[in-house]
Amino acid sequence: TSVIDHFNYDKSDDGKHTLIIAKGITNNEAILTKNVIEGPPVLFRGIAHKIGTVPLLTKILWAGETAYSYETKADQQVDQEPLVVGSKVMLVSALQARKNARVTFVGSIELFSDRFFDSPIQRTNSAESFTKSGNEDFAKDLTKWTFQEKGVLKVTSRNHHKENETEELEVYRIKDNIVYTIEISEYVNDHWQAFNGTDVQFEAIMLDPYIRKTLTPLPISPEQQARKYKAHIQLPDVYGVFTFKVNYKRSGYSYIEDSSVVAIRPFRHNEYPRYISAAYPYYTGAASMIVGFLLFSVIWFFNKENSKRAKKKMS
Amino acid sequence: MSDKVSSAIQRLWTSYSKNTPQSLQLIDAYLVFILFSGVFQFVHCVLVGTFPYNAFLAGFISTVGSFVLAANLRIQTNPDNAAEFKSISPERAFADFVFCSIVLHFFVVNFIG
Repeated sequence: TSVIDHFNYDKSDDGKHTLIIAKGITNNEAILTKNVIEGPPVLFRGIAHKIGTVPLLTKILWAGETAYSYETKADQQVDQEPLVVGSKVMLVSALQARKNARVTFVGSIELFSDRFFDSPIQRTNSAESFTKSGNEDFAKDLTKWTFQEKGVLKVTSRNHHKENETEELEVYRIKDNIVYTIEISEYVNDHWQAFNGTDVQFEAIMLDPYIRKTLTPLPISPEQQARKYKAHIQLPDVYGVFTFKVNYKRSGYSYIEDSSVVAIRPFRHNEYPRYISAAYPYYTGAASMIVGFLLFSVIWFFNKENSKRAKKKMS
Repeated sequence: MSDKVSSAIQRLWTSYSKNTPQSLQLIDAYLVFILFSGVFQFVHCVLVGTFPYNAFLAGFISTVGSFVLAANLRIQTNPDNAAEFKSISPERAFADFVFCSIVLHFFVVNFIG
């Protein structure tokens, strides 16, 4: 079988309408650069595949609405249901496994051939034409991504400490204010440089996440190799063993899962508030009792009648 | 009806101020002060809830205990009761009152938290 498209084939096709101009291209800039996404289309001659709904998959190149996958025979009569039809016809797709292993499925060897690299594109029955196909730049970006030269992230360091301190503790207290920082760098053009993501999140998890906060990227100077992300967090009111985790999974970028385990302890006996605001009436009541008792006993003691009685007894 | 009640109260008040010795009136004033303090604390607890329960108990028992001790002092130093309390002189009664009050306030301050 091959991918056949009677409306999107190039002029230099051999009559079977299998040399097609791929219509759908991903806009994920971690995999392909902007020039490739917006540049000339890609020529393709080969077989189709279809992908499922696993979130580890990314579709990269797919055919137009008028494509289908079928045997190329002399009479070309389609009397059975094709495997895949329309924009579900996948031409190039990729899988990034949980440990960041990358696999790319390309249905055509000729996509990488010199002939396709240099061929101009002229769509039959249409004014659409380009002097050079986008195959060469597409193949460059695709192979870069697959062989872990593009869209690769790593965590260079991670740190957490209480506000106004620098020591990284293993035990924090409930409702402590801490500062969490993590540094992430990206491999671009054969060197590590600062990563530009804006949606890195921090989670504090004890079976369920109690806190989830987006880290703010700090500005960096151009020669720095990693971008620092920082957040100010107040630890939850629950004590236990927590995991501080940055779980960054984005399509096209390698997956980052950085965790550190930390214990959160309850208040010590002398860390509770000393006076409870709801109890002030009782404090003042008891104090007034003491003051009243002292006043009363002083007045009683120096009362005229009592001292008269005492004087009488003494005499 | 109401002026009968008011005239009865009037007569009660004049009889009280004429016939009770000054020391007993002093104790009565002290008892009224303790009563107000205790009522205030109890009403506060009813409105706001019993959250620092130990604080409420300490404050309330401080008033109740002081009231009881002052009432005892009044009974024992009342000249009309002198026949029943031959062995307890008013000075002894006052000394008992002072000692017990000190112990009471010590426990109250310890329990109030």
